Amino acid sequence: MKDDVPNDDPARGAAGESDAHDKRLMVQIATGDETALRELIEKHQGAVYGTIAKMLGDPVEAQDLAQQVFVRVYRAAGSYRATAQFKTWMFTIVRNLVFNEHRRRSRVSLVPLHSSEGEPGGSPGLDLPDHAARTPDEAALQREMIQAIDGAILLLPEQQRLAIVLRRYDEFSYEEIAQILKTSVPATKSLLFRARETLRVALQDYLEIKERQSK
Amino acid sequence: MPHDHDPHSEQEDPLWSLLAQAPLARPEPWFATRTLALCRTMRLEIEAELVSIRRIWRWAFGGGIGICLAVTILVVQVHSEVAETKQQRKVQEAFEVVASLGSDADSSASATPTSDSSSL
Repeated sequence: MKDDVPNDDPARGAAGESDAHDKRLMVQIATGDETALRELIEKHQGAVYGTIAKMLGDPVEAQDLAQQVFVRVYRAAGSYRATAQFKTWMFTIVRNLVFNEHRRRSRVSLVPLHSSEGEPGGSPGLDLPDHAARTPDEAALQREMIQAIDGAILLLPEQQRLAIVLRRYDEFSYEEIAQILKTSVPATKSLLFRARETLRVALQDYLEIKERQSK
Repeated sequence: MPHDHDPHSEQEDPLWSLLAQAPLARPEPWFATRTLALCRTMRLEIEAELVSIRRIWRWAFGGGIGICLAVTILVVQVHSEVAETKQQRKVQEAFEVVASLGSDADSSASATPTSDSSSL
C-alpha cells in the first residue's frame, strides 16, 4: 500500500514481513515441501478465491480457477525469481486466468449464473455474511443489496472490475494494481475513477438508503 | 485531474463503505486440501512423463548406438572388400602386363628367323 500509508507505518512493515515469508515459502515449495505449499494456499486462498468469485460471479468456476492459480504457483516455484512482491506476482496469474476465462465465455456466450432469479442469497453459493441477528426485512434488504453490489461490479468492464476489486477488497496500492493490470499508475487511477462513477450511478438507491439510515 | 484519488477520501466515500457490505466470498473448507491433492497429482503425472521420456531416450540411445555400430562395421567391411578387389585387380593387371610382355617376347623371337630366312 505504497502510496496510502507513511513509510514508518507498522502495517507496511508487516506487509513486507509477510512478503518475505511468502518468498521463503516459495523457496521451500521449489524443494518439494508440501507443508509450505499448504501454508501458502491457506494464507492466500481467501483473497484469490474471493477475487475470482467477484470477477466471475460463479462460485464453481471460481473454485476451479483459484485451484489453477495455485497449481501455476506450484509449477513456477522452481523458476520463481523474487523481483516483485509475491502477492502482486500471484495476482498477475489471477488476472491472466480471469481474463482468459472472460474471453472463453464470450466465445461460447455462457449465461452467467448470477443473473438467475430467485436464488437465495443473490449470488448463488457465495458465502454471505451471517444475517441471523437481523430482522427478516433487514436480512432481505441486505441480501438484495449484496446482490445489487455484486451485479453492479459484474457489469463493469473487466479492467475496471479487477481494479475496483483489487483496490476495495484486496487493498492493493495503485502501483501494485498497475503492475497486475500491466498499465501505468495514472491509467489505473483513471480506471478506478470510472469504475466508482459507474458504481455510484448503479447503486444510487442503496447509497440513499444508507444515507437515510445514518441520519 | 478528476481521478487523482486521495486514499483518505476513498475511506470517507459512502460508496466505499457500501461496497464493504458485499465482502469477498470465502472458499469451501476443503479448498486447500483439494488444491494440494491436485498439485500432487500434477507432480506425479509430470514425474511419470519424465520417467517415460527417460525410458524412451534410453532405448533410443541404445538403439542409435547399435545402428551406428552396425553401419560402421558394414562400412569397414565393404571398404576392406573393395580394397581387396582393387588389390586383386591390380595384381591381375600386373600379371596380364607381364603375360603380354612375355608373349610379345615370344612372338618377336619366333619372328626373327623368318626375317633372316627371307633376307637370305
